Amino acid sequence: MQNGNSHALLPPGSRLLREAAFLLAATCLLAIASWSLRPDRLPLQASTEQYELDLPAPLLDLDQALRLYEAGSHLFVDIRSIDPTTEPRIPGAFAIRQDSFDDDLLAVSDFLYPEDPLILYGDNNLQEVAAVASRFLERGYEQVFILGGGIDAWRLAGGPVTRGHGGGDG
Amino acid sequence: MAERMTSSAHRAAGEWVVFLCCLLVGGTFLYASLGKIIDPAGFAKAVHNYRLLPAVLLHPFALLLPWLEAVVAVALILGVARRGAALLALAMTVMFTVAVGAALVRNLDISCGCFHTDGGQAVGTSLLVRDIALLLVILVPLLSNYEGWSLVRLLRHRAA
Repeated sequence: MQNGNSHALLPPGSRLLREAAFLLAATCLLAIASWSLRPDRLPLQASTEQYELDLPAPLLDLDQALRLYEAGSHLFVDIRSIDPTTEPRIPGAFAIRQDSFDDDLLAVSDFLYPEDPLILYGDNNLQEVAAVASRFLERGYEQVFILGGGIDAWRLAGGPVTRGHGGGDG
Repeated sequence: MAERMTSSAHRAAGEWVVFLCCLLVGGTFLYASLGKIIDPAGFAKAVHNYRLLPAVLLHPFALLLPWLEAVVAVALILGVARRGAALLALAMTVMFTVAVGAALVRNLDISCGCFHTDGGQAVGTSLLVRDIALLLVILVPLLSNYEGWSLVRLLRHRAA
């Protein structure tokens, strides 16, 4: 063992920087791999809306939401007070409205559990969706997300919609 | 002979001190990284609360920093690229200290976001003191002449 006999205060600078560069490169690789593999990955571009409005739940962009819809890993929640026979909604979405939150949640309590990941959407009124998201979080739901742009943006992006009673089949 | 024994004892003590400092710093960084790796959105929110980073850097920072903490921690504990790891640990701790100091000066009532993305310790003077203490501990493996004990060195010693 030869170390410990040097009188220099710091090892040669190039070795120090090489080691730091190696660790930084390893960090980038791990971060990219981790980000790529997560279905609910954080978008690289922060949404100013999310932070300026201080939303209680992360905002998902449409690409992410569509991917999660196709993966079937997340449940969609429609917070609008609409006529389901005439207004389009995302197939399979549970209707849990702000004004009747407790009753609506009770009605689906056999299907919706606190550990289920949820994506909430409305008419692109973020304040309303945020309010419902807060209520879910208060009830112990841990994985709550908000669909950026609402149902209109979903339709424009080619996301499937259904009309009529029942869950639809996407 | 006596001089050689004293020198040897000093060296052993020095190696242990470096090792223990690396263990302390590495353990702290590893513990700090886990919650943030699991919940990058929560960490991004905590970082946003400091009002220091522009929006364009917020999410890349929230995604990279926890992994840097984890990599540096493992490097310190295992003794791989230890001085480089100590340099990065120093840079991160200086950054944390500046951020906490800035939050204190601006009277921001926010959570640190150091170990927990949800709640956690509020930004305050005690946090600043803790960060400065961590800075001093990091200087030991960075500036010491001794490499310090480590798993890697132990394996090398056995192989020799």
